Amino acid sequence: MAGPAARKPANIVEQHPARRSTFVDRTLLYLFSYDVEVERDAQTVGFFPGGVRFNMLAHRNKSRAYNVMRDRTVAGVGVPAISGELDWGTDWSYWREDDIEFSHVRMTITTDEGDTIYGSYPAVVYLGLGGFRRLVSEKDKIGTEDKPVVARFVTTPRFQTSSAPYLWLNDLQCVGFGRLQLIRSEFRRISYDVYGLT
Amino acid sequence: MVTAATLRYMFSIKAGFPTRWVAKTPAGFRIDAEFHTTQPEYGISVAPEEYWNAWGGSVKVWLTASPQCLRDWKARFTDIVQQRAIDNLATPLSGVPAADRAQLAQEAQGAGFGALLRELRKYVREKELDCPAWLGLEGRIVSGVDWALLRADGVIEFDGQWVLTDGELDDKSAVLINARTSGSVDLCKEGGPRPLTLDHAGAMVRAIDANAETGIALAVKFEAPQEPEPWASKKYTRRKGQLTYVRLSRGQFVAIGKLNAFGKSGAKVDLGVYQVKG
Repeated sequence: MAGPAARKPANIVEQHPARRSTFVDRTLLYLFSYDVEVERDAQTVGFFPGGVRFNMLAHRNKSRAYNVMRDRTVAGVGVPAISGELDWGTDWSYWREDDIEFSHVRMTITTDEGDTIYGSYPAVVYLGLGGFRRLVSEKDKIGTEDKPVVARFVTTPRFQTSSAPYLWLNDLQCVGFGRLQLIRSEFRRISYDVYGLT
Repeated sequence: MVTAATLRYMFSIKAGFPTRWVAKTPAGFRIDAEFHTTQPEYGISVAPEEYWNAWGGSVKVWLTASPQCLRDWKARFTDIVQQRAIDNLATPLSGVPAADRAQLAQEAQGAGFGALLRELRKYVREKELDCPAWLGLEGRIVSGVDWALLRADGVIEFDGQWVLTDGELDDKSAVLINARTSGSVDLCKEGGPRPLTLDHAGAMVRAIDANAETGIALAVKFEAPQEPEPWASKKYTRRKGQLTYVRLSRGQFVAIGKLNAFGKSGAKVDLGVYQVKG
């Protein structure tokens, strides 16, 4: 009776390419940053199977996109840097009982030149051990005005625009490194640095 | 075979939606449409006849089993005509289903049926009763954004997120319900000319007459609040009567109706929302 070795095709080694010993090239290209002031009056739907649902809105006149280095062009590429207002942004959030937040964000940036850039992305945020219960509970509120709690998270935004100076954005898969401030268990301010993955 | 009876009427939405042409991409024009009900003729309402045809039988069964509810409902009216109308509405149906539907439709045509139904809904919400029948939804759209995509073939793909309330926009005690809408709508007439390029499609849509109507059908998924945990903050605790809408989270729904224009100046939709019964 033939054993396992006998059943293996003779050319098995040739079927698999040689494994790499180096990583593929990749670059993080800094594009822009934005700060979102969250409207205090969130749209709270309430308890939903598995967690809590609510929608956060960006404060229209207090949320901006800008270049941290105040550069006029994206360093190394020469395309115009992005600066403008977030004139619309919403985050449909779901705090799950296993302390993970799932968000679906959609936003529109109106640049200082009046061009429109649409962005959307999912976000997954770990709320910390027992975070769900602490955020939703009446007791043990997280963060104070003097000492807000800062949570870190990563997003994968995509942008769309028909504006000629910013068409290069359409081609990029981006990654956003975010920090959000929690005061009295409410999201108050969210900041991102957005990079293009190249 | 699927029949019309598999769609069960829930409520109606009339809304305006100014549009903004955000981006031209190879996939199509990205159009931002913001649905609103800020004008008096817009809102979320219940079409009495259609409602009673879909749910009248269930309401009658419930009222027959709950005589106290019937008495309380009647007690909210002093007019003898309205009280008699309630007695009629609570009378159980008999006979074949087709005859039932005809009788239901006739009942809903009675004067003041909408007001009677509204009072029953208010009563059930206030008392937080476990009513097995759907009692409708009346209110406003708090925010309703759709990131539509106009394709080069003249078809619009809708992808929306709406927030509905059962009160007025400034009513902090009203219940909020999330709704996700999606679907494709062909803006070209059957057998009529079809655009060849994206620019052509854009020009065609912008030129649609403001009075022109297009049929529209969207799939809708609701997220309505359920019973909160007792330890939750006041922010997440139950709002009066919110469990009345739990049914919306437990089924598949469609919104079917008419769409007027899609130009830059804005447009309107008139939709009936139905539960799809499998």
